[in-house]
Amino acid sequence: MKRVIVLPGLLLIVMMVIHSCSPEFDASVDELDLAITSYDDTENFGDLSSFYMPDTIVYIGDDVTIQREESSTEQHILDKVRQNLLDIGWTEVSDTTNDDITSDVAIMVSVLEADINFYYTYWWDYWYWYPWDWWYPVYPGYPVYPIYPVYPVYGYTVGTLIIEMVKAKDSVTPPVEGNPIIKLPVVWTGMVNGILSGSEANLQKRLTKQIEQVFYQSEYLHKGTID
Amino acid sequence: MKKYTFIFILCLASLITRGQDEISVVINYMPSLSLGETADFTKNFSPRGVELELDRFIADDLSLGLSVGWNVFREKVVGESFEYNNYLVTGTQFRYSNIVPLNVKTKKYFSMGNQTPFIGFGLGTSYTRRTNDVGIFSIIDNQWQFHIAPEAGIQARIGTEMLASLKIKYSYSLKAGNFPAMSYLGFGIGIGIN
Repeated sequence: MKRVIVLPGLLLIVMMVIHSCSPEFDASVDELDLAITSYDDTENFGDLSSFYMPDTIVYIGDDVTIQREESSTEQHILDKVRQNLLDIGWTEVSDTTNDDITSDVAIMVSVLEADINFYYTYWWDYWYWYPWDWWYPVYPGYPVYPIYPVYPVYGYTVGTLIIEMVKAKDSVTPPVEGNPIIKLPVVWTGMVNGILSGSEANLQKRLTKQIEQVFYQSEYLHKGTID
Repeated sequence: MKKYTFIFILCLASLITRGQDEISVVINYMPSLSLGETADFTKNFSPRGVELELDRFIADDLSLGLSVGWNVFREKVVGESFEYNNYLVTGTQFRYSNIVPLNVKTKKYFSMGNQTPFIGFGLGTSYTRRTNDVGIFSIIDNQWQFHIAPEAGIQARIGTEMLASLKIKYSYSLKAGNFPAMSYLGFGIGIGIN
């Protein structure tokens, strides 16, 4: 008799331990920020020392007609990228009054935003296929829904800041018939990825930290000793 | 989760028979210390571990049985960079190692009154899943590996049917392809019936 009680009891303890044994850390939003870099390892960065950077950020998306409100964050991003390049020994070329290319590279800054939503579908979504037979008349007061809709439970917006270093004096591969892609000689890419949440001041603080990390971990770009 | 639950039920179904005095069922709480390449990925002493043992006595001092366990190691790594597909990534890493060993095991008992020291050896397989959550991304790697597990401990009878046990168990899963060998040292505190 004791076995009948104790054995299922042990099983129950095992199941409870299993179900509690999937611990996950609680992460704050800034702990989910990433700094990612990649570079062309055939490039000699010692030959490159000057850059030109336009004062605009390109937003990557499907609808190019979206009018975005000006925000201090955009200027903050451009200022930080420029400042970090100057701090690691690069020289900025700002004269664009003539057609000659006078800088070694051009810095292109773009932003991509993506909404991520998590949906739950419930098992009664599948009731739609149950036939109504003559035992259950359909009352005109109760409309029959063919399928229950899904409901978004929660979501967030993820932003990616992309900083690309394009060799200005190298030739650009033009598009060909059947392939409209223009290939640019990108020698270095830095990306900052994170969840867009919180106040603008907090967002700018997080951006500053990750932009600095992106340049800190790219030692091949440094022209002198970094602090 | 469902996979692990099913494994436990399957192990029980195969061994519970009418030979009540010949069978012991013990559940062990198994906190463990990660070693070797397990510690390289998740270096810590983990309180999260459980093991279910079913042993059938084939002689007065020898048993044969099955065991299935689950150990979880986790570590939060801040500020370290790693390479992934030609990218250098820096961010807070949340690393998890889930190890589920399934063994056939044999135990030799040395009767000393009410306390019974024993040594045992398990041979079988283990399923390991390593997860690295970094940013909004997860890098997951999993593998079945050949597994061995020697152990030593002591069992004591409580009353006529209940058992208590203490043991140390070393688990080692062999390297498989690019997946590293996994090893850890478990400290089992168990209760069961016989």
